[in-house]
Amino acid sequence: MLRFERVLQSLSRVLNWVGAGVLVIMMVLTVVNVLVRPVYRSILGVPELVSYGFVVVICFGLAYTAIMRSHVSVELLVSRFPQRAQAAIDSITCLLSIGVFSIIAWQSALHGWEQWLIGEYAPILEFPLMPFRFVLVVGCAVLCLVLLLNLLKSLATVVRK
Amino acid sequence: MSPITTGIIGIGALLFLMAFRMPIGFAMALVGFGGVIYLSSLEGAFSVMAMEPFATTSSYTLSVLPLFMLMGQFAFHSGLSERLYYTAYKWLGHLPGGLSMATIGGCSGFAAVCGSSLATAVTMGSVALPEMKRYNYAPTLATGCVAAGGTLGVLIPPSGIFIIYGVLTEQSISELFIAGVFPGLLLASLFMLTIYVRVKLNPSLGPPAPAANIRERLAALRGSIDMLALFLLVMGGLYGGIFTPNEAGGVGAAGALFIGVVRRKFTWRGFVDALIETTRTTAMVLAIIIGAMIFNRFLSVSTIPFWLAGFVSGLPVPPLAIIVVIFAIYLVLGCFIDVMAMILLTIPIFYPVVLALGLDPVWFGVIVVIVMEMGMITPPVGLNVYVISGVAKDVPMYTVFRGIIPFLVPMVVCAAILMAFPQIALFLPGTMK
Repeated sequence: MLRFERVLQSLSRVLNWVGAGVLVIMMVLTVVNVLVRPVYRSILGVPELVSYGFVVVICFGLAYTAIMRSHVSVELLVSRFPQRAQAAIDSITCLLSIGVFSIIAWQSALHGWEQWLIGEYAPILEFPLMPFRFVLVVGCAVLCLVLLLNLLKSLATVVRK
Repeated sequence: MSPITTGIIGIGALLFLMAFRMPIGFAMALVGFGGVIYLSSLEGAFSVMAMEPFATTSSYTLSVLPLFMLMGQFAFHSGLSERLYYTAYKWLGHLPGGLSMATIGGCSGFAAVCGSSLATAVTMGSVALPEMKRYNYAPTLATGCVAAGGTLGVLIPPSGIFIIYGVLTEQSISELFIAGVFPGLLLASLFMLTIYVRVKLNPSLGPPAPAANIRERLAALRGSIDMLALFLLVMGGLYGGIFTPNEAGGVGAAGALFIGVVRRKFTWRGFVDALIETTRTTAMVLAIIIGAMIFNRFLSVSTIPFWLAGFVSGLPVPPLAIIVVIFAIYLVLGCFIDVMAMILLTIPIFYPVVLALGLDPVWFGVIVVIVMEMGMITPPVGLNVYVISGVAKDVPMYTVFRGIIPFLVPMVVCAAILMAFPQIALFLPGTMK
């Protein structure tokens, strides 16, 4: 379990790093486009690149955010319950969340595959969108693993004497 | 069961899950998915889950959000908050309650590069609270003015809430930003007036600091002038239609980074922290938005928004009365739910009503932000208050909440003024191309 946790932590951190790098690229691309436009012309497809870069920033950040436990939730009620009741409630909501995100990952993977077979490309620069759809799937899948870890931890609290 | 009944049960189920600490975005996605299965079909629900997350995460309009967040983070890590506070301090410090007024001034300045009320409150709090403590300011006034000043963060552009409001209602983000300028300045002045009057009535609340001479004041101005220039560049570009909101965000972020580097305030560590903080916050916010988009598919199948709009516009009461009721709902909700989640949850329901009443969407957006921000500082869930009692560890949370109450008055007054004179918000965007 400890090893599982350590591997997941590094994995989420690395993914988040990739997202941060892409964010810097998005910023640089936007600024260069603004600077170049008056003297030459707009760089082709910058909005497109920024849009799909955004997919990476978000999806590769989801798991890290869950590891840091910073997904927004309402603490008001549950934080007043005894520790074990809290853990029991968290296990249930964790399980539900895993359900939701595995469906998103699974359905997005199916849909992405179909789109790949059809030959889905970005409208202007004509690069395939499949890698970005894949990023979403990976992001959600790793998030599920982190939630699974949180679930196991909560369950451990519930059964502890 | 009719679609409307299903919709109401769905909203109830969502509130239930949220009360039991399920992350808000995850709960919205779950209920939305379940609701679409019930009202349409399993295949339909699967296709929502396959399409909606990718459509949301690859939205060019939403990608403006991390760029502006990055601008705020870079500004923070380049020590902007200290310099802003120092400037306002030299100009206002000698007045009764002057340090608190300087805090409001600093908050307004920081709000001009940062789009979040929490970040503004934390940032200025960590700078201003020790100073106010040094001059024996009452803890209620000191913490209250920081919590209130934080709310300027989302009213004065850039603003994360305006971005999301713009995406949900398909209104121009540039117009919303520009519409926030004067209401933001109005609210800041009202805050300062409140401080002045309170300290005049009870001078022990905020004793004046020594006055600075004109040379010191001008010297202090130099510390903030570059960020002011950046703000004018970014917002001027938006106003003049030279930049799209994304470009404004990109230029703002790069500009804030540039200023930090030139001033030699930027460390590698600061750069890294700014990036990590931005990606973390982006994922946090987007998780809610993805959930909200799935939930909205369910809401529109349930026909609740259309039904509500038809029902409300048929009521024999003036539109103003309905707006007041909507605001009352926001005030109550704001006591329990985070502003971002609240706007994502309620705007799809209330927006058709606003349109049916023939109200200006931009004006409504501005007022909604003020009303919601009141929720950010009222108990039991005043997020600004939590973070401030985290910064001012020696002040009990109860004191912060007590300190905030006098600042609710100028917020209500500001909202009322804007309702009476919509032009304060609307004239500037009205002159845009």
